[in-house]
Amino acid sequence: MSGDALWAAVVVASVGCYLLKLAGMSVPAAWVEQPFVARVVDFVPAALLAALVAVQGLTSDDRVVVDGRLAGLAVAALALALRAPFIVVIVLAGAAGAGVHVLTG
Amino acid sequence: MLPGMTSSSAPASPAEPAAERIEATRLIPATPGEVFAVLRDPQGHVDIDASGMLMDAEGEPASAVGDRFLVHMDREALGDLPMGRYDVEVVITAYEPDREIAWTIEGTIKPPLRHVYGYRLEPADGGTLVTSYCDWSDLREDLRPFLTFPIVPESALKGTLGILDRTRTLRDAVGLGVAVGLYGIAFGAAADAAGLDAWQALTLSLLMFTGASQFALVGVLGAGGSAPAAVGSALLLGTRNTVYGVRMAPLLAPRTALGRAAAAHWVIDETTAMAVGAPDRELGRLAFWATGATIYLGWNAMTLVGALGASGLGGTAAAALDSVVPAAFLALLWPRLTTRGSAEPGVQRRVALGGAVVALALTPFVPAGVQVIAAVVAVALAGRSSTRTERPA
Repeated sequence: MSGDALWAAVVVASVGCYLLKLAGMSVPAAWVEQPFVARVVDFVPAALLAALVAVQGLTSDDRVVVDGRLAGLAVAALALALRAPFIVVIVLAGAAGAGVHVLTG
Repeated sequence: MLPGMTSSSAPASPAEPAAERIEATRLIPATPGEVFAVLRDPQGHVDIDASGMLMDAEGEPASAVGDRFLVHMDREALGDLPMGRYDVEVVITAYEPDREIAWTIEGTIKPPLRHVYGYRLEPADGGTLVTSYCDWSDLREDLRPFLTFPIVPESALKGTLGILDRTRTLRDAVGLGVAVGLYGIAFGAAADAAGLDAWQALTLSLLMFTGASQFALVGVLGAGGSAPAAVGSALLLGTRNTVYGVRMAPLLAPRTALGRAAAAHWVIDETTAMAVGAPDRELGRLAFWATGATIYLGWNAMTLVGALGASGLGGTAAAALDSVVPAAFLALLWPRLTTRGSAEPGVQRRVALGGAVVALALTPFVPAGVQVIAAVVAVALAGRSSTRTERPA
């Protein structure tokens, strides 16, 4: 992707995300607080973040692959279950990924 | 002595308080241990003083009966006696960790007056019931005709508890802000791995300022996704800030359009959680602005550190970075799947699993990034609410 296209994505997404925040502060509460809307918004992050975990952790181009990233995810899950702070989770996952890279050459 | 000055305002007092005693009680949203840490610290007393008399303190935190520390006082703040500045020594007379601390004052009058100040802590729903008291029932008889008690009025005890409350809120907000700000390193590194330069990473942190959307944008771009797919995932994750905004608008109640525009920028997961969790509206606002400011500074500074630090890394470090990005998404997702972070963790888990399966299944067939957006169809697995009571619209 060209530098200009990257910049366009950065700016458009940033402005869009800001307008979503501003909309919440500005529109009548009743528009957003309908049960259906509230429920969809409540569950969108779970679906999307899980999809990102799967795509980032298990795919490469258009294929499903297993590599050091899966080890990183397993270590991260264990650390999260033990209520480790975010930064510890990230460092441990990175170390696991690097470890697999070193071992498998 | 003014009539009425000795009245007690302690609803939670276990026994009928003595007449020569004033008390004030307040629920502080912190554990007894956190409150006690402030109360045993000489500097903590200066921080929360509402009488205006405590200028500074010297000494180690108290840890037993008989411990002493020095406090520099200024009588001018009270204005009752022309004493000016003087030093007193605080002598601990009761010390029960996380439950009670009391002390008497040895000052300019010798032998001492024998009046006692103290705090009693009781664990309660939503925090700790803190009672501040002053007791002068053991006062030296020979001095009684010359002294007006209480020296410090009940309003100052109440004021001190109010400041204690604010101090706790502020310390919590800044503590969370520093911790979250550190995540910025992971984002900066992820942005670099996805092919963004440091300026683009910093622009996202400055202008977008909502972590999950930022990670999503660079995650999809890093996986080779198109710009529309990347922007779409960021916007979909950004919709929850709209709901936060609805909740925050009455609490923040910005007076001007500019104030609203500024406040909106900081409406994110952490600021909303801190503000909604605060015990009242004023502390809610304080929590919002303190958390927002700390995160904004830390997040942007750390983004730059991560973006600059990650560029020029070797193969092993790059492999580490490859593992950091999915782990970051997992860490963002995790709290939503637990009983602590969600009202319906079971349903959240079903939706998350559905989203992951849909994304993996579509990966060979659709352009990169599109499978992430398509995964929102898993929201249908949430079904209709079975437990939530309908709120009036």
